[in-house]
Amino acid sequence: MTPDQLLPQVYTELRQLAAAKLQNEQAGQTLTATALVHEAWLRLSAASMDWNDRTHFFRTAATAMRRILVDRARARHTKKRDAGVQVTLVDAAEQLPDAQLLALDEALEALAVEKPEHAQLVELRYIVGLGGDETAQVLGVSPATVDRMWRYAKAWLLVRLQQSRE
Amino acid sequence: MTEEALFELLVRTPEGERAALLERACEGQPALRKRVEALLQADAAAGSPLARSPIPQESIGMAVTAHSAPTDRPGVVIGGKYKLIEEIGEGGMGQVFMAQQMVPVKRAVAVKVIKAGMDSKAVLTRFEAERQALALMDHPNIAKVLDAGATESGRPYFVMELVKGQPITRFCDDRKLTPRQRLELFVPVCQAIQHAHQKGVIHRDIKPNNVLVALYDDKPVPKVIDFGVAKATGPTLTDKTLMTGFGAVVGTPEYMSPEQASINNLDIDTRSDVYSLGVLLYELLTGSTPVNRQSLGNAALLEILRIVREVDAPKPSAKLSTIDTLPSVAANRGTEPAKLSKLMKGELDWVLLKALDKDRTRRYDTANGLARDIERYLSNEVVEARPPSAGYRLRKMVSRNKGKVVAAGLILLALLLGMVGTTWGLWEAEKQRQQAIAEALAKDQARQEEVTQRQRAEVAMKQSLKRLTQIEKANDILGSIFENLDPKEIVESQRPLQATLVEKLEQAIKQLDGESIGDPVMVATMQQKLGVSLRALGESTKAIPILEKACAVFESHLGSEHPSTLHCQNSLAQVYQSTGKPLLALPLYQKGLLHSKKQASSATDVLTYMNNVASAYEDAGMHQQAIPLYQETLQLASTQLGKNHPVTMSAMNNLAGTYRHTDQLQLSLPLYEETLALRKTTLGLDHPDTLRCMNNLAGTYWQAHQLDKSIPLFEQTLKRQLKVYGRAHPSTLLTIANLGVNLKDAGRTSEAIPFIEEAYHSRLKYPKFRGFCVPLFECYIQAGKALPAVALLPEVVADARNALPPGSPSLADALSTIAVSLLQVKACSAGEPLLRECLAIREKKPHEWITYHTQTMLGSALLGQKKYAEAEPLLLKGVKGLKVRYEMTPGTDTTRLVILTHTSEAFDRLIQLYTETQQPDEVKKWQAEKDKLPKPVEQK
Repeated sequence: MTPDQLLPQVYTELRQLAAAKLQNEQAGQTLTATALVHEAWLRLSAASMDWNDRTHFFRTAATAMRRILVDRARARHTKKRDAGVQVTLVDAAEQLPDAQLLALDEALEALAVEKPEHAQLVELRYIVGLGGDETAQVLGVSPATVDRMWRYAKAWLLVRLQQSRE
Repeated sequence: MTEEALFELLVRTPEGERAALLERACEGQPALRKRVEALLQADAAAGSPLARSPIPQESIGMAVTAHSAPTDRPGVVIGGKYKLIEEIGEGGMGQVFMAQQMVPVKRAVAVKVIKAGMDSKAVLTRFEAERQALALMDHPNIAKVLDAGATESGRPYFVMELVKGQPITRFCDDRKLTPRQRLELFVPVCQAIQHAHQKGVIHRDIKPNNVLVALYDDKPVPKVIDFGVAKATGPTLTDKTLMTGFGAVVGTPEYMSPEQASINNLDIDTRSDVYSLGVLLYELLTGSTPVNRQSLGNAALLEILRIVREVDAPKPSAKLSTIDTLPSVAANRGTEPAKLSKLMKGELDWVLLKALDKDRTRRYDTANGLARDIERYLSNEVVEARPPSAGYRLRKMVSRNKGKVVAAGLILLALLLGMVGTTWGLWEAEKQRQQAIAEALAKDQARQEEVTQRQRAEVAMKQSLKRLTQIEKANDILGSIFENLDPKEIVESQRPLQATLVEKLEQAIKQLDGESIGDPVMVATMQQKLGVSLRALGESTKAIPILEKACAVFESHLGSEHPSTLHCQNSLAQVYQSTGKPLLALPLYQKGLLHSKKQASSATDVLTYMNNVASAYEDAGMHQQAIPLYQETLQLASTQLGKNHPVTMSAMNNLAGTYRHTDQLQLSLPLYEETLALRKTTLGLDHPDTLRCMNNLAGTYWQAHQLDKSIPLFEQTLKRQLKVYGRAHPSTLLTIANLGVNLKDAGRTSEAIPFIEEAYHSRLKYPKFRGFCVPLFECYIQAGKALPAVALLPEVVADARNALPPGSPSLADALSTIAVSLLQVKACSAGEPLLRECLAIREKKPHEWITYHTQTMLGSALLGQKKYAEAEPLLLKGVKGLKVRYEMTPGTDTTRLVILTHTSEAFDRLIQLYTETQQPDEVKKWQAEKDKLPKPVEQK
């Protein structure tokens, strides 16, 4: 299966899972993207044999998860948008206020144009919450490379966000 | 050199040398230099090099198994004050050291260093969150957690009281303790867990390795260790962790409760610990855990978790008979195989199965509950746990139809207990009386003549008989409630059990009135019970008369200060309050408060009354009296009873409510949020108090215009209430109504309609829902549903008339708003009379622009009904008047813009009239007139 065929399936699965979770969730608990992606993996890998390629899955899931988070934020945020927002890359993306998440999403788009691999890395680490080693495995590079790329991508994004705020 | 390569080079360069290097590398490329400088600045702002993920690894975390830092070994001092002496244990989670604390006191402690790979910041943040609660724990069977921090190499560590002991299972086996000794040793473990629960700490990882037994003065003392560690480190790292194919780690499944074994295990409360205690006891008694991982071999992780969640634990006695190692298990317990199996059969089976129930609502409520049952077993009393019985099977059947019967079932139970209690009390009294008579008779024998003696005996006999008849009658009446109460029939008849119960209770009350039982106090006791049950079923109005009667009887027979009188008056006050009569409730509560203070009653009693008095103030709208009293209650209750006490939570919830009603939302919201969190952990999600608090919080979010929070919370509340109360309960209906109005406010009209309709349709039974005709009307209009909107009209108009003085401008405004809505959906004939009435009021000021506007609106309503002759003069008059008013209004006035819009629309209506009546000349003429008006947009 090509990534293009994969994406709609993963996207649908993740969205349904997220919706089901949100319904069952108690107030005050945030649902973690990591948990969702893993659960989607368990379900899809159990459901069909084509899903053996975990690396493949995580790359796709990261993109799908980002879309979901951004869709949700956008839906809630349509009217309240400020001209500039401040983003600090410290916590997990899902805990960001909507405005910040949307700004980050824009910056990521820009990064993807210039440095697609870095953008993918940010999705994996930041949106899905994979650890360094895990990310390295998915991207097929060494953990040291991941750390280097991550540091650069972070600085890059922060500069971009500052510029768009000014 | 590329930007990226240069950046990477520079971040590895010591800061002092960077400038020079940058200078050299970017010679002649100022843009690159600026860019790299910005990147470096951002990098510095983002913090130190990120060796680890910035994300707290929660839920299903990622296992990092590879590295283990070798730097933490004996001799090393960590945290500046703990010198590691020797390693005393190693597990999947990390190493445990015996260490010497050097400051502020010298003492031996245990230091648990979590292995590398965990985000120590996240671990420590979570630990900090629990620290307060952990510090409050003080129990001889709990090893205190003293400190936490991160080592030089970034590994989180926990410092604990040093316990030189063995895991409880090994301790028991090594010493060949008998089952009885094991049970005795286990009771304090439960009590320790109970203590922690009372302080708000859930252990989450109870297993033999965390329950150590050490000898103090030759006496075995169990100590529970690792409190707060499981919470802080998440479920990601525990001993014997299991890996899935891609490395996600899930805890130790054997001791996990079913709710912990779900993939998204967020919903954990104290009953999860009760389950784990059950597993531990199971292992102590039978030598193995209910789910035995060894026997499952390499079954997939998901399969094991499924078993934990779904497969009921085998009866311990049955389990014993299946294991090959029974002889050695028995020998370790100082007994023989057959004896051990026999011992387990019966009560111990039941106790364990109750602790291990998949459904946590059927487990022991508390760890103490389990401890007490074990103590009962040890002292040969009847245990609380029961074998699966007819009642159990009945419950199973009913559970398929859960929603309807859960609440009713609880009430049934309460009633049954009440009945048994009453009877037993009387029976006991009777026994004592007969004994007294017998003694008296025995004494008399020597002195009295035989005749008198016989007479006395006869009198005593008669009294006893009379009493017995009374009891029988009383029981017959209470019993009648349960007669013919066939759950199966109820489920099939679709009729809510609640309704049936209310009916039966009412019958019983009538019978109680008619029967001459002979003992008024006993009748009053029963009346009180029935009244309280009626209130619990949401039928407070019906409960008033019988509680009033009962109170009167108690007062005249026992006196006004008697506990029974006060108790009954409190019940009566509660019904007054829930039927909107707070001023009747207030004096009763105040009397109770005064009395409880005078008698120096328990803190709980006094504070309960304080809370009740405050709530009556509040219901009576006396917020200024309510707030300080609530604040005082909350403060006293927090310190005297603790945060988790029902009275504290009640005061907290109520104070939040008063803040809410006085529009101090910034004070109300955090207080509600705290109450909800406390109630969720202490009472569980389905408890009525939790649900009420959820509803309140959601309503406050709504009030604060946070629809994104209020709607999901209302939805959640509703889901739970449907399960617990069923659809017809007033609390459920209130949530339904609120949810509807919230959805409406969020513009989700079509979703809102069914909810508001449902609330509105219950208005005959619950008058408070009458007002919902207005939002429902508005929804219909928004959805373009003319017919149902018109059908609601009489009530909507009546609602306006009730609220506003006749002939007042505000009534005219309200009528005009309703009429305009009607015109929007083309219900012109319905709008006409409203506009006529509105015009009649406004014509008192004939030259106001709004009067002219009303004329054109009425004209429009007539036009819509093709009553051209009537419409024309009104429209003409209105148009001319509006135009003049527009011209007379000063240019800067915003009203001018409003008038202009209305004038333009008025022209349109007039032109429409002439178009429909085919008068082209008039059309042309008025179109030309209209064109002279400036466009509303230009005005701006």
